[in-house]
Formats: sequence, structure tokens, C-alpha cells
Amino acid sequence: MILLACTVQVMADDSIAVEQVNESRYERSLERKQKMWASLIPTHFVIQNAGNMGVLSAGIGWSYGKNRKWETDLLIGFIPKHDSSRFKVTTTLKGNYIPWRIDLTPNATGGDKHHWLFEPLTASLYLNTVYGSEFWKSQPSRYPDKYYEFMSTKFRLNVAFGQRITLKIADNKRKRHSRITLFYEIGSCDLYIRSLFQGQDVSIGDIIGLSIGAKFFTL
Amino acid sequence: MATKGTTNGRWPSLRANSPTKTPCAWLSSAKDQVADVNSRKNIDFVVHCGDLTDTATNTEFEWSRDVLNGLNYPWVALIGNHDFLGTGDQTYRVMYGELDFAFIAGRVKFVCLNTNATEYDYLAAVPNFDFLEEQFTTDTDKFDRTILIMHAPPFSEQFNNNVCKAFRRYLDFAPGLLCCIYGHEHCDKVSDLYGDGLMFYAIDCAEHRNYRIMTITPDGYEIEQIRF
Repeated sequence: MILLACTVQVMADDSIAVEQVNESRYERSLERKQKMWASLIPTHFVIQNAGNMGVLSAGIGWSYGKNRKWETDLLIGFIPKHDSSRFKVTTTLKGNYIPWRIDLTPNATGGDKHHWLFEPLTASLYLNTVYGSEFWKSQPSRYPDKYYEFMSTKFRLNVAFGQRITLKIADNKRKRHSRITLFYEIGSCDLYIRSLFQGQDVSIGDIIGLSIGAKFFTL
Repeated sequence: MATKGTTNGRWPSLRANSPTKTPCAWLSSAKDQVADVNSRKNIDFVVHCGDLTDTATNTEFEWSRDVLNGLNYPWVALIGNHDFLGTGDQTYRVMYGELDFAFIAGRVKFVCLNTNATEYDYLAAVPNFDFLEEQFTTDTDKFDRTILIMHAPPFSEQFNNNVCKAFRRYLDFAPGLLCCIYGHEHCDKVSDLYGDGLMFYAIDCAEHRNYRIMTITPDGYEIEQIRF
């Protein structure tokens, strides 16, 4: 049997904490609250075409996480009337993951140089809803149980993959925005992915759609 | 879920190729079915008995339309209950026209009736008796016999079963009613639904790889099941 001797080194803390007498408990709590609410300020605005959420969608978003690898967007979309009875409005909650960000201008040093960044992959998962009495969240009671095999005509779950190019504006040239991003995505929704597994004759090419958009970062 | 009905007729002994129902989610079976119909001679027209789509998206409507456009014969398509989901009925209307329609071929009137009452929560005039009456009483000099085609049959969960018996009574006004043809049930079935001799033919879905060809003769009709 081996006995291990452990030495515990106790260090005396010589320093004496200086009481912040000029900051009251109220002020600390206020600061904490302000910081919390400040985190809800959107970091960017988004505008996007198509993507199963309407001909045009616009909204706000938050980028967060280490190296801003995560984003959440909240969009309101517009579906024109075309041949239907009326135009429709959609709402989308979208999560994006951007694992890599490549600086295409690594030699541009100093605060007066713009940077071009390339984001080779974005992965998005989003839920959207369309407003109107024709669409139901769950099957109305007039139907027998599990009459239609899918969940809802009102909510769609979508997936998309894309790429981005970002202009990071030089520090001393910023007016309204810090970064401007152009992106495209290729995606599909749950119903179409389902038909991919049902019908032997539906291919990936039949169910995907292209979406393009821009993001304007202020923070 | 799309039902595709082929009704074709040939003159002089008036032949009608009867409805096939093709589930639309199963597009490849539908394509095979179209090829099988195309390989046959003397088909006058094809009737799809409804459910052109599974979830009534525009894309699905386009898929089934493209498959059916492969037919070498004229074709019509009824609206099925699946085609109503969301705003699918509006899509159907743009792509195919009215939900109730009729046409005359070889002095036989084919009345294609929307019977998907559950999709309206029974609030609409479905089945539309006024439409039936109009069809039974107009152009009567141009037809002697009638065939009624629908997606969902009486007594099914889509039909407004409160008017099942009234509906049957109304059919007595149809000049020379030969039989009724429907889809919806994904099976091939011949039944005397009301027990009074009026025959109802359920046309199977494409996935089950069979349909029927109806041949209308001067003194009746033949309806043959085709497997492909």
C-alpha cells in the first residue's frame, strides 16, 4: 500500500478588498438589469427572399456565442395574393449555425481597412407559420383521429444550408453598420422531405429551393 | 392518394375507359399507370377521381399534373379531400377549374361532383344539389345517359351523410343513370351501396397498380379491371 502525502498549501490572502462604497446595491442591481436587457437588443436586421416563408421576409436577429457562431432570427414574411383569395403573412423563428469564418483579407491590418469574410457553410433550422383560418395547428375535430398523417398545415419545419460573404467595415468608416452580409441558402421543408421518402420518383432536386438575403449588423 | 380515373369511350359502340385512381404521393406508380393507359388503343378519355396530392402543396399539384400530362388521351381530374388542405382548393381551381363540372361524350353525360363535405366542415353546399339538378335538366337533347363520378362516396367520412338518402333520391332525376364511380378508398370495389341496384365502382389507387376501363355500349356498359 502506498501512502500519498498531500501537502496543502495555504496561502494567506494579504490583500484587503476595498469596499466600493460609491456603488450602492441599487446601482449594482440596475447595472445588472441593464446588461440583461441590453442583451436583447438585436444585433442585426435581416431581409430575405423565398425560403418557404414568402416572397419577401424581413426581421431582426441576434448573433451570439463564441466567434458569433450562432444566430437567431425572427422574421415576418409576405405571400402575395396571386390567384388566391388574399395575401398572407408568415412568421419565422430561425436558428443559424456558422461554424467557420474565413478572412479573405488577412493582410488588411489596422482600423482603417475593410475586411472581407467568407463563411463557407451555414446550417439553419427554422419553424414558420402562416396566418389564416384555412390553416390548422392540429387537426380540427371534424376529422376522425389521425385522419391526415402529418402534423399541421399551419406550421412547417424547414432546414437549409448556405454560404455567406461578409464585409466587415473598417472601424473608422462605420456609420450605421459594422458588418454587411449577403447570403444564399438551399432548403426544404418537412412536407417535401417526407415526400422524398414516400415517392420513389421525387428527387432532392424536386424539393429544394433557393433563397437569398442580406444581413445588416449594427452590433 | 390521387385517384386517377380513366373514362374513355369509343364510337360507334361507345366505349369509355373508366377511372383509375392514382395516389399521387406514389408518382412512379402513376407514371406506370399513364404508360399502361397510353399503350392501349381506343381510349377516349381518362378521369382522375381525386387526391392529386397528399398535402395539397403547389409543388405536389405540379408533380401530379406533369405525370397526367403524359397521357396521350384527354383527361380530367376531380378534387379529392387531400387536395383541400391549406389553400389547396384554390390551387385546384386555378389549375383545373370548377370543383363541380360535367361534360358530354357520345351522348353520355359525365357529372363530376365534389363530395368532400368534411373539408368544409359541412358548411358548404356539398354535394351541390343545384348543380346536379342543372346538369340533369340542361342539354337533355344532347345526352341520353348519365354517369356520376365523385371522390368520396356516400356513407364515407367525407360525405355529408345527413343527405345520403336525399342524395340517392336526387339521382333518380339523372337521365338514364348508368352507375356511379368514385375514388377515395384506395381499393377496387363494386358495391350496390343503397341496396337498390345502382352500382358504385370504387377505383383503386395507382400504388395498388390497377385501374378500370369502362366501355359504354348502346345497351349498357362493361367495366374491366386492368392490372399493370
